[in-house]
Amino acid sequence: MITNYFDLFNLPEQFDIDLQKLKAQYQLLQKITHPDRFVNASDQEKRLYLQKNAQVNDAYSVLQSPVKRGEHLLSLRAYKLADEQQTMGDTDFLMQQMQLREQLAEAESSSDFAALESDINDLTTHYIEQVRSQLATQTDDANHQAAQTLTKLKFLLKLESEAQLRKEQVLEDD
Amino acid sequence: MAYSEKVIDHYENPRNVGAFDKNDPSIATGMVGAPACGDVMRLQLKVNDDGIIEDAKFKTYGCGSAIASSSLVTEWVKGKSIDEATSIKNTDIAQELALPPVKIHCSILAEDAIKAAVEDYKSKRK
Repeated sequence: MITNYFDLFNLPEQFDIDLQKLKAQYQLLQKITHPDRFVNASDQEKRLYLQKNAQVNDAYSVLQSPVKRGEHLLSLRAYKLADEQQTMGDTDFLMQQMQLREQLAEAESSSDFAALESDINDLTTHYIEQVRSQLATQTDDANHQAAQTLTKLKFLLKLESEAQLRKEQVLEDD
Repeated sequence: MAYSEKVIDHYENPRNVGAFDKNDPSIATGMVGAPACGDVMRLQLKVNDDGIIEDAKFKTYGCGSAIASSSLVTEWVKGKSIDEATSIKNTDIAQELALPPVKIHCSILAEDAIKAAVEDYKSKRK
């Protein structure tokens, strides 16, 4: 049985959530479960609240991230997510990833990086919109498609962080 | 975590990096990606009329183990038949390169790249 993080944060169980409300709820739950409040409690109670506190932190990091939030939604629908180790073979998508990686490897100026970042952003926006409508559909087919779109978003997130890292290295040397 | 000498050797001197024309009928292309780490691998095989792999090239964006796994595979598949190539298992790759458990997925990626290239070869022959 998995804990419903949307319930924990008193948010509707859907892909689009109010991030302001998420943050406010997080601060509230953090306060309620904070270990400092239980210095005089029994060991058992301390342990319980420590677990609760850790769970609040886990839930917050999941709900904050669109990819993890989407995967959590799928898990709540009893959709079985693919093993982390499993490879993906969507040739068109991977060709495009390869091109973007080449573009990143060749990027030298701040305008090169700006162009690449804008491409990555456009694609991310596109897939976020796609997964939003797939998750709203709630059929087995749509769940499966949503899982595939979330996988694509993982590649884009990784690319984005690598682009950021390389940009800092390259532009610092100038 | 330390890389084995073989991984470092393949990483520093990768064999057969590059690309063939994917539209050439004798070229089979396999593209695979690992969502967990964002690695992307392209393996291309040049197959002659007898179904023997004459040459192989790869391009991998990923960690040292992923690059070493694909580099090793390009060496191993040369001279093999398509069927022999598909018998290469990720455990063989992991063993040869002494990959630690956390890097096993890199060898899985390389095995799946061979399978994807073979699929492409078969679909091109239809």
